[in-house]
Amino acid sequence: MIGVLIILGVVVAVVLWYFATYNRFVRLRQQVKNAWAQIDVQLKRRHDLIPNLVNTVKGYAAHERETLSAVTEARAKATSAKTPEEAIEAEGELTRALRQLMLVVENYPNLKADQHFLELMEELRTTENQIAFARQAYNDNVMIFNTAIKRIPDAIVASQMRLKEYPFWEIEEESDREVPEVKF
Amino acid sequence: MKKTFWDIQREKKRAITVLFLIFFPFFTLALVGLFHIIKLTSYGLFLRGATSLELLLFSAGISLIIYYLGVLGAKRDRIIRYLEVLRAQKPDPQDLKHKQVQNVVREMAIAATVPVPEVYVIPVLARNAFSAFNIIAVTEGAISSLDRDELQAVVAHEMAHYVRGDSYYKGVLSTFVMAISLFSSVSLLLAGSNDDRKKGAGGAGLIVLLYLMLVELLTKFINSLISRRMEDLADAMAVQFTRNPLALASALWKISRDRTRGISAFSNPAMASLFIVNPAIRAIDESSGLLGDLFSTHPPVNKRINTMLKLAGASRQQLLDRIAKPKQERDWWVEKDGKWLGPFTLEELMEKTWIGEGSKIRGKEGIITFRDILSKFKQAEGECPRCKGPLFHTYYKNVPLLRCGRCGGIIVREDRVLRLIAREQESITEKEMEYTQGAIDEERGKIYRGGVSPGVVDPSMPLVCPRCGKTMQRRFFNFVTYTPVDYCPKCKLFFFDSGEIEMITAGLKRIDSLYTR
Repeated sequence: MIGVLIILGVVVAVVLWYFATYNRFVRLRQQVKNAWAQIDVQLKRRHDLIPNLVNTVKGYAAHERETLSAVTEARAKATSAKTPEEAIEAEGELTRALRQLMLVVENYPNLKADQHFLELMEELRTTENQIAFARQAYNDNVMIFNTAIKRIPDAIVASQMRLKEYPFWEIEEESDREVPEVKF
Repeated sequence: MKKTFWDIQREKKRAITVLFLIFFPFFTLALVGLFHIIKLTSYGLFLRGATSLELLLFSAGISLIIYYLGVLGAKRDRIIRYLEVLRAQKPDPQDLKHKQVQNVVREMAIAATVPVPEVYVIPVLARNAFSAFNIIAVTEGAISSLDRDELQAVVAHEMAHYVRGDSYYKGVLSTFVMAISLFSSVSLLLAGSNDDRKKGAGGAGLIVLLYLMLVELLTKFINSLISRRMEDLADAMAVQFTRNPLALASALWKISRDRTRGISAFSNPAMASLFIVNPAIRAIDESSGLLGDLFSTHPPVNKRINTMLKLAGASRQQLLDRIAKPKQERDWWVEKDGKWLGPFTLEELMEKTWIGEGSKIRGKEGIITFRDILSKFKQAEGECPRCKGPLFHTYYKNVPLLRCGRCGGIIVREDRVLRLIAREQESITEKEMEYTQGAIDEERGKIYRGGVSPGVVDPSMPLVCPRCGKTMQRRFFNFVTYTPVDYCPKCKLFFFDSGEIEMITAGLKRIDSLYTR
């Protein structure tokens, strides 16, 4: 009698563990997908912002034509990208062009007292940050997910669910990092 | 190996779980003990014939009821009401600083992969922030004194509480603390009542009272242990979101060095544990002494700062360097009563509302007029109620308002007025303070000589609202500086004569300095 009860208890425990692990993996996978979707949303947001930005800067610094056209071109490339590789490449170029623009604009101290200009800079900054944070959140969630599915005994459930590791979004160059890095 | 923020998170999460697992059995067993004592003493009550099992079930039932009450009490409405009392507002999209807050919240929601919570700004000078449910509130003082990265760090900390749902657990825990405090105050009444003494049961009442006081202390102790772990965890999660521990360190530094500006509504003890730094004046929380270690809801700020510095691999000197203000180009001077004041930045110059058409202004390129500066701004419809001069859309510390091009007076919407005062004007010089104090004393003198009506201080003709054309009311802006201002109740607009904003801010600053000394 007691033996039966013990076996029954073990079976119930295993089933409960299986369900809990299964649900946890579903949640973690959803988080990774969510974070990926956020990157997309933010990139689109940046594309929408650029025409406005270029027009406003033109009003203040018309002779920075070169920098401005670089931004416009990079945007056109990014919006027309077909494959993910092309998109990553074009977005990187756009990021660099925008950063160049922000540097150039620093040379116009009178602009800093102009509220509209400051608002525009804030808008640009938050968009750049949102892209960087979306990427960071994606990578964090990928790390948590990839670690979780390799843990024993949870890995058994993971292989049953046919879960595979997600790739990290690598950053092409060190200067692309918006946020200061943490020393470990 | 050095600890990462992931390690800290793991550590704290485990500690919080363990403490919660201890808390509920502890509370139930404490009640069992209480009923045993009551049963054995002369009170007896209905417990006289109860078995131990019955006492245990009875105690567990009471624990459950308290838990349920806590769940009922942890409501979003209460927070909304609290925000209403504080006159908190949603961020103003026309105000750059407010927009920054809104943006930073969105950024952190992305970093944490959660829906964007609601944001409120509390128009008080105190520097603080809190979160509850899906609400994040930041004070105007924090907004004006923290830079963008610091603001981001503070919001990230609050975002961590939101992700973890800490406000809910804190609410439930505080219900237990309140319940046990209630029990012990009831027993205090019983122990002291005449009726009791006549029956010779005073001794029993005393035992119950002492026992309950002990349980109350222990409950508060465990509660504060959990609350402190939650704060540490939120700090570590904030670093995960921002990857910028130095910014959180300097934000904590700035916030903790500003306690004296607290207002009474902030010291509401039920809300205190929700803030990033305990807002109560002279909170034991921040001391790292024995009392602070045992009962504070927040870890000592210095310890939190040190943890952040360790994560950043930075020294204390690096923190101080970060806090030191960057040198700006200051090449603007303005004449007042035959003396040149300055140097100011252009923004600082625009903050001096005592500058008008007659003021002499000297920039890099020589002497220019007030109109020259204003010509950069868009002209608004209507004319100045004081001097009929033209009005321009300008900003005071990023707060949008109308400025008269002739006398320098300003017109500002009622919902933005408190913000105007709360944005710190660091550029106020000693000289200006002197002038301002003279003006305040003069106004007060008028009040003492001739009653307290604002019309006595400013006997000029009533002004006409530039928007609706109706007569404006004259009233004192506050009862600290007794500055008479004009207000249109229909359009909800305030008119300040040139220099009056400085008078009010300087007056409040002076009162502040009395407390900070």
